[in-house]
Amino acid sequence: MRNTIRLVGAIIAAVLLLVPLTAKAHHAFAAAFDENKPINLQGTVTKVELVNPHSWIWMDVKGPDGKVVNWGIEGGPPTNLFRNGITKSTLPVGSEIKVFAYQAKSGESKCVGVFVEYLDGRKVFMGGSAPGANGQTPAKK
Amino acid sequence: MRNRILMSWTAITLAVILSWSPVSMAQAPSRAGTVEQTAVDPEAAIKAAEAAAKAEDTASAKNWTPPRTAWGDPDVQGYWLTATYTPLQRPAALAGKAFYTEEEAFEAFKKAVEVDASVNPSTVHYDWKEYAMDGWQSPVRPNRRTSLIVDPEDGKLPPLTPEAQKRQAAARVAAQARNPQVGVQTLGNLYTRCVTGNNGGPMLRGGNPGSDSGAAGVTAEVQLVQIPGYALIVAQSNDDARIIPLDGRPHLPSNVRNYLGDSRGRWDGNTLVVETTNFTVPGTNFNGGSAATKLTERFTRIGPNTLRYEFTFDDPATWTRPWTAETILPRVDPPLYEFACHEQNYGLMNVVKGAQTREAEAATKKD
Repeated sequence: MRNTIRLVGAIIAAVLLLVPLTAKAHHAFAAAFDENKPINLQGTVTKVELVNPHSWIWMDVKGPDGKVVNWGIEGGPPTNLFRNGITKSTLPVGSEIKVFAYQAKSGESKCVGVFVEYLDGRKVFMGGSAPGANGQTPAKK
Repeated sequence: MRNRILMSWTAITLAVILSWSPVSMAQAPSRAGTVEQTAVDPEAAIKAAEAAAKAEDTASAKNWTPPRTAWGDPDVQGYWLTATYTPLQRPAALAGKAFYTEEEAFEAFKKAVEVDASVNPSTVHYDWKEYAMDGWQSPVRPNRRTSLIVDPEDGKLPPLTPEAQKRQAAARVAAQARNPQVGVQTLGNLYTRCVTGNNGGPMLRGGNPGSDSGAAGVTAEVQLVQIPGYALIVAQSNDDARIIPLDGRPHLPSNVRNYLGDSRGRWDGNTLVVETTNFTVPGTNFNGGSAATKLTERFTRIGPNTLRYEFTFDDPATWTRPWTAETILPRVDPPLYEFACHEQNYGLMNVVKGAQTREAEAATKKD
């Protein structure tokens, strides 16, 4: 039985390794996200994943139709967030935050965060002078 | 022999565990609830970096003596940052000028940070456009050198051998064939597939973090650990770890190859010298190097918070002569975080889905 499991595992591993990886650059912004799809989100943090190489914040956002959608926001590595003063205790589940981001090319509810802002106005992450990184660009969705 | 190896590994494992223990974590500064200006404001970061450089110059000048371990070896341990804004090769405008004045170094640093914080989002690596992904958001420091390469004297890579020119041209064609839109940045490389990181050896590649995918800008922290008879280099990027015997034993047989090679170390005064061979390709994939590379790295403490890092590439299958680079690594606060690259690799899915979307769009246009 154990050998069977091992064999199945080995086959799965082999298949995974052999699958032709036709996908594009893992680390190119344009491969996954669309600079023509800026988006402003406001909602409640549901999960914070401080993991290398990219952290993810997940939040529930209520749309104009009243429907709640869970959005994932990709960001920098935890060491850099730590230097920003961001830990799980400073961004606890249930926090209300605003996010300016660019949506995934696929149209899913995922985006790459440019900045995250607490409702008291503290901006905690900045992405330089990307379009809208100053928070002034109205995002249309 | 087997027991000796087992004991060595046990000691090393213990050392690594201890280095990651809550004792180390307890040293972490508590900044909860505050927003660091140096992480959100490039100008504040520039000022802080200049102040740190000046303070370190002053501290290093006062008859500073490098520390030693309890067992008497020079102590190069700590967490060090490999991010740099110094280019690998000297820009043409600085031909003949190996060093900046302090003022010029600060000015060059300021310009580099400002460029990093304002570059066109549609043409670059997505790091700086994401929160907390800019090089300047780390305690990166100005550098008096105008290029990382110090030998040849012109600060440039030596010419490629004809064999290397052919090899690199073929690699470019293959990469373009895989994906003409993104060129060489494909999933074919070991970094994007979470196998090896950017700091395994050499520990940095130079350039401008954020605009050069080969530059170490984020997750650029490296930890050096020593125990009697061994040094360990643990890079945050993809958890690359090198275990380096210091007892003079020979390299592994040449048929045993590793992504990070096979490292042997020795002391030269206060300098830890590490020689690495037995690379596999594309593990050594540094500017197209070959498996024949001999990498020699030199680590020297030159101040309370500064490690000088030098590396020499000797790869006759690629360059017509050896070349050497040098830089300073600032000390940073612990900890290193685990690189759970595969476990958390939403990025891969997003890239695949993005590519599928783009392909579908292209197909629609054709119709």
